[in-house]
Amino acid sequence: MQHLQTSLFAFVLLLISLFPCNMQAKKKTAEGPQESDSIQLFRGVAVSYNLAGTVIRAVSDYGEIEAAARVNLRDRYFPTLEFGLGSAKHALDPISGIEAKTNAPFFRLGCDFNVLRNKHDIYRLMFGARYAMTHFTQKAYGDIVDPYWGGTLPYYAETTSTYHWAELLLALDARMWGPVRLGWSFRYKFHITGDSKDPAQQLWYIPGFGKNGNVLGATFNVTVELWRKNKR
Amino acid sequence: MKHFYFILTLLSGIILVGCSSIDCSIEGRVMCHYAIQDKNGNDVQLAYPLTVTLQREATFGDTVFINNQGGVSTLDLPMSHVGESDEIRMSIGVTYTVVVDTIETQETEYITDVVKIKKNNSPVFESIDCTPRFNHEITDVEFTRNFIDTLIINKANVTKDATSPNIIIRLRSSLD
Repeated sequence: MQHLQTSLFAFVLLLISLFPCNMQAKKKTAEGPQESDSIQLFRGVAVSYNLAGTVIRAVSDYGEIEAAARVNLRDRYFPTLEFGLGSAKHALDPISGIEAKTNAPFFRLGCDFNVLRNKHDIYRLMFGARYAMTHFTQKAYGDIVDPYWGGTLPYYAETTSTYHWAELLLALDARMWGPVRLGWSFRYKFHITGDSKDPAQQLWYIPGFGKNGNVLGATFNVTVELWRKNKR
Repeated sequence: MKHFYFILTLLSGIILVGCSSIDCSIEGRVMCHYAIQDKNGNDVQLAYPLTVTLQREATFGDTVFINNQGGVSTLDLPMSHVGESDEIRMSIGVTYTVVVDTIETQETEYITDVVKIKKNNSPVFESIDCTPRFNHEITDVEFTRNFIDTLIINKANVTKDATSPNIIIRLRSSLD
């Protein structure tokens, strides 16, 4: 219940933060000249870095160092490759008495679609989808007490997984300074296939996906447009 | 104003991604389930009180797990996390009346069997927040035959699943 309330609170915050940006975008659209759509297909390349993943990794047990590259097609379609390194390390838990860690690369491949009427605006509101995959090994270890038979015993559990999932996303970004853009994406993730190789070992953290069972996620991206065509 | 929304967005994203919950199963213990049957395979209750002692390493000393429990028809006994075999001593107290010079006295005779269960152990990881546990696979059983007639491995895999007995204890005819 608390989890649901927190998710709801975060979602409301996102909506509040989105609302004024949209208003400004609409205003600009209304003021700007009407442009025809006869532009060339290739409009540029941009690279981005997910700040949220790094911040989360710094303040919690898990997170991602994640970058992305995307191609701009007609300011409408944005094929995107996201890749990174997901890692988690839980220090000795005082209740369970064990530690766990995992560390592996991941990638996501997909496309975003800019839904704003004036697609050449400095703002972009996008819907997108991703296919994602990672292969990783999870290790849990520690010393545990046998409550009935006595003694402290070493515990070690290891499993591997090749995990595939998909994401649906809503993203907003805006040009801030020159080629620099800032934006966030709000994601719904769902498992496609692949699970723990050993059924007795549940997956705890999946690199790139997050904690097992958490279907919501978000990124905050700093994007630099390496090359862009401003003129038709 | 733009910075305010920037920070608001960043914060909401962090809160959203940071949501977590602890979801450990309620029945966290792995126990070996025993059922008691007569020699013909019918479920019965023991007619005499049962005492079960876990034969632990000398360092820890033996421990009484069940003490003189009457009307036992099923048992849940813990298995060692990583031991290759567990030794369990089961005693039933048979009480009878002795008459000496017209004075009746109640005396109890203990009939004891020792059960040795050989097994393989495999660690289970549920979540970092949950107490780790071990599943077991029973490979063999050895036992003495004082009140036990035979032991049957009914389900070799010992997990949290308690729907069917792992081991069936069949009693000697005289104790049915």
